[in-house]
Amino acid sequence: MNMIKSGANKNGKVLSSGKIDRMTNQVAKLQTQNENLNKVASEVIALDNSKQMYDVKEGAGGTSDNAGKLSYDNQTGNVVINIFNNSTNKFATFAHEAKHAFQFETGKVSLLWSGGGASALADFTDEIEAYQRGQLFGANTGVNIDEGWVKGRGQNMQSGPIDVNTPTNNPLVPGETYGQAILNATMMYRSRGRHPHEVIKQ
Amino acid sequence: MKVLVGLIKSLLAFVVLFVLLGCSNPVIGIYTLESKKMQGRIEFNQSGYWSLDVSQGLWNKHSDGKWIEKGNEIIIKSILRIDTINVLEEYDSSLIGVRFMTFDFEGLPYDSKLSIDNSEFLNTVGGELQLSISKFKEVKFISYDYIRKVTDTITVKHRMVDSNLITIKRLNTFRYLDYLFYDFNKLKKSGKRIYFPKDSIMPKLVFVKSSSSGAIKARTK
Repeated sequence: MNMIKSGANKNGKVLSSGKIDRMTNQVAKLQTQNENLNKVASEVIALDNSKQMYDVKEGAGGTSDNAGKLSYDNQTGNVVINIFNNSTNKFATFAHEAKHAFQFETGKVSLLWSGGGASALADFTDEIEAYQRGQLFGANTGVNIDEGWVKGRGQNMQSGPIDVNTPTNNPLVPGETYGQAILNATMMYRSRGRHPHEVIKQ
Repeated sequence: MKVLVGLIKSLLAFVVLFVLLGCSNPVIGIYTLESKKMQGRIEFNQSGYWSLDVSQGLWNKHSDGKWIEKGNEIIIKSILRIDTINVLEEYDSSLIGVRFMTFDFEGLPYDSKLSIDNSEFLNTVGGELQLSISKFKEVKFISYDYIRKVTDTITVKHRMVDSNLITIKRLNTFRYLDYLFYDFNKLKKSGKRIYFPKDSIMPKLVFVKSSSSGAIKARTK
């Protein structure tokens, strides 16, 4: 940092403008990485402090490129970060799924009550964030992660962003948000003795 | 000469047997998705039912239903149809006017708007609407799936002059967000592989046979 500011190396030799540019870029990259790692730390702390229990499980299944899953355990009420044995980078897989867990915590993602995975609120922006988080830990290096790239993996989701506060625009219930709609449906199912279709963080 | 004829017969029998064995590749069994990016399996069982599960990250899809094989094609139909609707007209002597009830197939009230002879009414809490009219020509049942914002309209003609209790039941797609609705869709079969064509939801998928039996076999030592 000091070298860039002074424009000379530790021996006093003047640095070329190209070298300064490269070093400036490197510093910016490291600063971004540092910010992202701080974000990871704060998100993990948020999950730890939450009244919602988050669990991590390792198990069989998955593919090298699809090695994790976030699910709801309706027996315990826990949200489970599943890491499959076929993962070639378990750290990155955990980072990806932990991002989805944080999205659940903050109302960006809902989960199927049956344990099948995500439901109504899932959209491309959630998946892009999670892949970018995995990239921070060595997955899909050098790839520009955007909607087109996620789509190329076979997923066809709504563009989003959709979260619990997004209006449903249902003309029958003016002003209703997705969060309210999911809770209303849950209340209705429960009142009839049925389990809900999906769950959100409450 | 007899030996030669015998040899030719044996050879022919062998060729016929080989062709038959080579061609007979029954579709029944479990197929797994050939993909590094996604997980999936499709099962065709002997009783004519099939089921499909595909997942990738937050994206999960499922379907099931009946199948038939025609040549090198497998035709699939889902158990559920997105536009499944039942209308029941009855007479209730205790009613003054007409009562409309809108439910899903699980008996849960369904958000809807009823357009009766061009006047619009929202159904009330509990999926019910009662109007002090003695008859009507036509009712349009407009339902909203808030997740996909799909609006559909189903027209019910008032056929029975003496009916005053109209129950409209339909599939609640909110319960089936992850369900794929197939209606006589064609899959290609080639050897041990089954090809799902690309559609508006699914990419092109290739499944390869992993087991000839739908039953889970116990492992023995």
